[in-house]
Amino acid sequence: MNKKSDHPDLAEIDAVRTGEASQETVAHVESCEQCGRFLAELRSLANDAGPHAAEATRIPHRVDDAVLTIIEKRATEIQWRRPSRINFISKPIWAAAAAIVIIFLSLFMFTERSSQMDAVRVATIRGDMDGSGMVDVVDAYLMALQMDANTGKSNGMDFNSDGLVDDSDIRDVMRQVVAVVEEV
Amino acid sequence: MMKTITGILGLLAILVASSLGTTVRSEDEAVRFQAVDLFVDSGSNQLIAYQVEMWFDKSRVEVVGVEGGEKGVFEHAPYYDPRGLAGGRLILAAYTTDHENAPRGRTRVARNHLRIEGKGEPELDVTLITAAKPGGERIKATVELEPAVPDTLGSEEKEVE
Repeated sequence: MNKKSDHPDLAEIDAVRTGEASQETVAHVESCEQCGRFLAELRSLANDAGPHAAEATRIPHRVDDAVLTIIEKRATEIQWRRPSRINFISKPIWAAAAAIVIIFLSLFMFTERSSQMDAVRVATIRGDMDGSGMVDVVDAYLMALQMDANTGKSNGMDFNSDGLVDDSDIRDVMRQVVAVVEEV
Repeated sequence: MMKTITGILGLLAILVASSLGTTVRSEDEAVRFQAVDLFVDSGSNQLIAYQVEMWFDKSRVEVVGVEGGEKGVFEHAPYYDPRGLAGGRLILAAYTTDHENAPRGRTRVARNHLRIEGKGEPELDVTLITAAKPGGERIKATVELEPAVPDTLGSEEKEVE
């Protein structure tokens, strides 16, 4: 029951008419003049519609079947249409796009990895003054040049790791350069 | 007395055997010495550094000495690994920081003294590993080995120990 107005709403009153309301609602409607008037009007309307009113609103089976047939047919058309779009239009485009993306990603990753590997190689080869990836006579020359110039730069020049940058580093570079047997 | 005679006979036997050994040695096993010069041609560029690799038949050839080249910045012997002298492969390398006097064109940078066994000319090969001009930029150059003309001798030898 509607507590705000203390009167049941129309649905509850109609439930009284059909015998489905609670005892409290029934008691209220029987004691309330206003609600009793609504109940009377509802009963009057129900009587006007007659005993076939409920049947009149029921959808005939053949209409149901027709609607279901249409729905089924439309659904079948939709199912066929979707794959045809994918097969003849979308699929090649998506495949090409995916291939391009994969190629670009591969190239990017390969280039990135190569540059990283180069950086590591340059950084890890001791004595490789010009970053050529190997130690040769040119590196010894560059070390000697820097020592002659006395620039104070000594990055990578302490070839023999004795804590000093001097002629012995150049000599050791040259020893490695001309070695015909791998130093152990 | 007997011991003395035995000793003399033994000594004679050794002398005879050694003289026989010398005389029976065939001409194919004859040994000779030859010097070959190493040239680097850097063209119009100045040459401040070179590194070459020499290959030879170690069964016939042994490098018994490495000298420097012509008078100038490469007159001192280049660096080399003495283990390669009899090993059939030798790497020679040298550099200079004297940019003013760095040579251009064809330059004799080293002389190798070879001990050669057997008849015929031995196979010698040389390849350039790298060459550079002042500043360290690598340049194209050609290398050659030629029989030495005995003009200058006695350059200082330097080897890596």
